[in-house]
Amino acid sequence: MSKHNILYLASMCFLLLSLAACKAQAAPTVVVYTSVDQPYAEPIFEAFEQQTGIRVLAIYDAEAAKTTGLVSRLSTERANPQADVFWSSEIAQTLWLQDQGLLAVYQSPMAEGIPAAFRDSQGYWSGLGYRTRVIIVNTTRVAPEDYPQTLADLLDPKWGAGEVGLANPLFGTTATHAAALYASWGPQPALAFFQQLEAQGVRIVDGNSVVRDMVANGDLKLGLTDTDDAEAAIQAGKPVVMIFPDQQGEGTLAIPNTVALVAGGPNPTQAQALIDYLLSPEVEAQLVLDGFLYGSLRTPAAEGPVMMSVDWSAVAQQMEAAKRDLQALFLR
Amino acid sequence: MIVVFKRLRSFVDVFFSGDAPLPHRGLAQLRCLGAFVGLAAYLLVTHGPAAWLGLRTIGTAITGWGTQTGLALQIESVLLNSRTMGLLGHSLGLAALVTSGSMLLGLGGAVWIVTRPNWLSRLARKFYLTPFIIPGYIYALTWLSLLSRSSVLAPGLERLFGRLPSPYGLSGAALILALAYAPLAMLVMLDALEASEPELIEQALLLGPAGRVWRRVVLPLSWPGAMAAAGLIFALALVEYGVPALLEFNVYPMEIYAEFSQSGDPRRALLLALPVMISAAILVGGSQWLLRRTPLASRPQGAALLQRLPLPRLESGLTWLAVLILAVGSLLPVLVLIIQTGSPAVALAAVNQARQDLLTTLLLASSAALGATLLAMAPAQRLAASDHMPPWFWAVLLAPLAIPAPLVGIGLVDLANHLPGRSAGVGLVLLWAAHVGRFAPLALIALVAQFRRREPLLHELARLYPVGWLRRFWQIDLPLMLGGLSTAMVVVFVLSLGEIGATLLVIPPGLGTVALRLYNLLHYGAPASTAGLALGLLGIILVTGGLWAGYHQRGAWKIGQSD
Repeated sequence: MSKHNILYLASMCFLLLSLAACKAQAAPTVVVYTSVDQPYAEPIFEAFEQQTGIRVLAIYDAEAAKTTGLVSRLSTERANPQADVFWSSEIAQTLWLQDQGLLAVYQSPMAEGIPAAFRDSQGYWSGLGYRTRVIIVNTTRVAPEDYPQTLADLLDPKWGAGEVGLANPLFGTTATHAAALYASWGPQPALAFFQQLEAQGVRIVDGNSVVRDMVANGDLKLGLTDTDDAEAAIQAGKPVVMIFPDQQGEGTLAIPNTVALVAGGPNPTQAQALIDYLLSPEVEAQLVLDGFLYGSLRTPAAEGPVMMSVDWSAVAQQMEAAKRDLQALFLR
Repeated sequence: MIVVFKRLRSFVDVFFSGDAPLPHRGLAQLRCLGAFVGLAAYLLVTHGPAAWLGLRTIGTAITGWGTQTGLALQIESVLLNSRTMGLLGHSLGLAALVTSGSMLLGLGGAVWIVTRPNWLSRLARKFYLTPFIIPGYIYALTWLSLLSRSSVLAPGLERLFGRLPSPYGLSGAALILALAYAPLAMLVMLDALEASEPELIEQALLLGPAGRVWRRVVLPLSWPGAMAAAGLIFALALVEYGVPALLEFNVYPMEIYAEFSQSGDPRRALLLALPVMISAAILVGGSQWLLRRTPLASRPQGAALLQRLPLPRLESGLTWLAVLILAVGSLLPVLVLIIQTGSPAVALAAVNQARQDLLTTLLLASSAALGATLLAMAPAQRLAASDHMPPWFWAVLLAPLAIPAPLVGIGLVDLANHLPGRSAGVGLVLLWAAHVGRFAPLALIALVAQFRRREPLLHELARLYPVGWLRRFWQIDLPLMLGGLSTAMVVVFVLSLGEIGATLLVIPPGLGTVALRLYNLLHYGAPASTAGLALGLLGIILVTGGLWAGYHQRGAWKIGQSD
């Protein structure tokens, strides 16, 4: 190797990177920002590409960036939108984007069978299947008779400090859950619930997957997480059990995935094609089969868990207040 | 005013001419122009994103902060409250503990290596940087899985300690970050110790035993190097948030994320980031300024003498302890990754599945390495040429190290959105600029250190070589610089491989990097694939480092052997 090869090599790398990007732009494309886990979303996009010939350019959210990732990016790109479709693994951020005027109306014909509670009446977003909030319990550390059955059971003094886990309530589905409790119970009782959790030494960890892993490893006795996380641990043979809270009362929170058209995106026609595809019953069924979604919005299982009745606009209104309270409570 | 003007003028003189007198007028003007353009380009890329956000913040302060409140009230609501100050205290405390821990380990490891001229120390010298190139979150997660109740070590540890030591909280975060940054401390301390003046040590040996020489002469001589390393590590630990978040220790940078996620206003995030940015910039700049003349500024001279300088028994024991901790800290995570992967087939499958991301990552890291190194060349040459650059100039050049990664991404996206029109290529430029901007200051440090090791005599001789300036540059100057350039490129290449914070905000649609995929896999809960891919990435980094080290040892870049 000559002395200059290293310089040539590095220059070539930049050139190749540019060529790769130019090639990527040649076919009709659609740009999607999604917070759905890459291993679930990628096969869906590949199938869409094969079916339509439209190339999907996806950006995935990472747990590291929390909501500062895709939603922040959409917000900062407001003046010059780069995305066409936003596929969120939950709903609160979609409502925030709608409130900020970052979404556009599209009434997809594929959203017809979706219940009105899970789609926007004006067509700013549509629901796609749902996950629910569950309590995950380590079966080697907790006896069956002690399994919690309600959210209030998490406040039982029998759980010592550091034995109950909760993902950071400023982000993701935990933030949505907190806002839903604010909307459903009222701000004061909901805040009191979290204050009591904090007083009992709840462990605030880096994400729902971390709650799952720590319960599965026995570092926590129990915690709040999502169905897909709990299912993954059960499938992996970990000593855990998943409990739907409040089945004798108001039910557990079901959080739909949401699909929305980004206002002013560069490829609106392809975006509509992708939204139609994502909202199809086949895609929903595939995601349920893969274990990412817990159930279909179109055909709720007859023996499924009891769900909370939620007014999503009220949840969106409570989001900021809930975040401010919980930031002051837990992040200090 | 006159004093400020005179100082500024003297700085400009020193910057453009170095400590040497200016040569003839035409060449001097050309050199001035080159230095100016190089410095401007460096400042633009490294400071551009944050400066843009700063300008926007000032702009809104003048015109009123939207429909809400004025700047003073924004500062009051964002910065001046007890919780924010408490979190700043957390971050400062963590950074202090991390710095102390990594410096003690780094010093112990460096002394151990320089005092033992055997195969083990030669092996350690080759591999001691390995833990630094493992992304921090992987490092923390392997430790967490090691100390979980279900790990194979749990029964043994419980017998030993009564119950499992908890890795969570301040102590765990400090320990894991100290282990992660210790190799960096070791790198600087090795240079500092080996640059000791042999004459001073020999004279001291005439007056007292070896132990006293170590305490009174060798270690004090390496003090500026230690301060430089400590300042750099303190600043890096101050803006770190990933590992403390995983270990459940709330720190100030986390508040920046939380603020931005709530308000969606990059200007408020910038305001909140200012205290850590300013304090870290002062620390990094000040500490590197301390380094301007000493350890890295000279060629290794005292290495052979230190090998013959025996350590007292207690100190020797302490160095063994440091090396033991470093070895365990380096090898255990790799071992955990190997165990979690299970079989080579899993690692190969994970790498194969991520091949497109891998290609993007390698291309990005290579081009960022080239860009950052070239960008840092002009200011590095100026800094290396003069001992009289003021500390504030060092602080300005190295301040970008103190900018939290997401702010770089937010600033670039915001800037691009205010440009008229936007083509597909802009996304790539943003991605490249984010990596270059984040790591060019580290390339600068590496280049300054290497440039100061050049033999001045060779340069003087090169001036007598009767050829044109271009040929002289190509045949003499460039080969003399290539050692430093390659070191800087490898540093940037390795750090670019693991970058997430800014990448996530600027990555063009349809592209992905291995670091992003790794984080997604972690969330998905696929420990075998995650570990396999992490091992694959580690393998690539080690091969790159090995090729670089081998190339250096062959001496291919020495004058006369090159083409």
